[in-house]
Amino acid sequence: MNRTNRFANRLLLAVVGLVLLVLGLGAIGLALAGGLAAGWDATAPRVLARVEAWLRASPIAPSGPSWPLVAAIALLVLAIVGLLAFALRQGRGRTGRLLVHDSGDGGTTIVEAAVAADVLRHALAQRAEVVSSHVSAYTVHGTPVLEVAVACRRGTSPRAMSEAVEGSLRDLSALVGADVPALVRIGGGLRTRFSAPQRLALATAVGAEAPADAHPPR
Amino acid sequence: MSGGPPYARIRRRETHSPRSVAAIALAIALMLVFAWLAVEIVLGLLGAPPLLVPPRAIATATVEATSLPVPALVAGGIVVALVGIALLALALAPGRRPRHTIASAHALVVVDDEVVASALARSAALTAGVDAGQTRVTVSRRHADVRLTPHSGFPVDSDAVRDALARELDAYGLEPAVRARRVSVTAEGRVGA
Repeated sequence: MNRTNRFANRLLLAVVGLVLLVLGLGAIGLALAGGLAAGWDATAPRVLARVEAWLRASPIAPSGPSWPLVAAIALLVLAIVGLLAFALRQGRGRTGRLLVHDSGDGGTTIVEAAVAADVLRHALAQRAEVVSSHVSAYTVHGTPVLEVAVACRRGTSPRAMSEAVEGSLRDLSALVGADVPALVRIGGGLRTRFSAPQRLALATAVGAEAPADAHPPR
Repeated sequence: MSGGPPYARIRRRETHSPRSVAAIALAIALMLVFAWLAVEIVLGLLGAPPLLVPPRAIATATVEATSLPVPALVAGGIVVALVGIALLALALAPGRRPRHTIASAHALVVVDDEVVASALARSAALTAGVDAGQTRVTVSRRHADVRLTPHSGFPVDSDAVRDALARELDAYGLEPAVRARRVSVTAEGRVGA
């Protein structure tokens, strides 16, 4: 739910993929198509000779390096900086503030995301089917959204889990006095794989209470 | 805050891969290549020995590409083209994650298919009277398949298992909807458990 620019990711992959595809097909063409190879042999050396003449003819200072080469270095460095910025901008979008309520008469109420995180983590830690939970807040299109990631034990009904988290979210709304949009992510993950299977409420009876030692019938 | 919560956007982002790993790996590779090229050009300008190949040698090698042996050129071209196709596929494929959403009034709920599968496995095991470890459930975008190993000598009613799965899946209300498809019971049961 972060602010990763997914279009940019795909655009980079597409552009580089297309360039490599054309280069590869070009190499195959040079090897197999006689006409293409002949054309290449006729033009490529002339192009190279012209480029070299141009590089010799355009020194920065008399007997100095040619400026197109210096420009090429600058371009390469720019591209590296751009790519670095692109790679470092993945993720992000986290916010520390969940609610900002301006009452209009000089008072502003700010609810920190950490409050919601503490409340929800505490509520979820009481439940036996929850192995671990992680709460953070992100701004999506200017709206702060809570992200509640829950790892549950093997065999937990996703519906029961979802209703449990929603109940906690309702309590949170009552506590902070406003509806908080939320993303609930119910996952397994590594810790779940090594945890004991869940043996509490029967999966078929959503919300029903069952004895804590309900064993599957043999 | 204008309008409702941006759930449509979040749902799309949660159920599709961001392609971050591929994009970052590619960006690092490009940075290395660019840095190497820049260093070679600088070394060439200073008249110093090159790191690997001087830029001029790269240029002449490209010009004389047709003098390379045909099999080498074809093999190299195929490898480069395949990498290009793989990158294009990553760029253009939807990249769906194995996740479903659950309809909910107060939040957007996203569930890993792994969780759905293990819940279904438990329900199937309960219905069939076997251990949870004796069920294998596969959940795809629209179907769930179960493979059961019964206790030797205790027949399993696969229709009852299918009905139980259908009831479970109904209760989950997954989006897109998942249907119980195949319930297969292995011919050889397990002895002792």
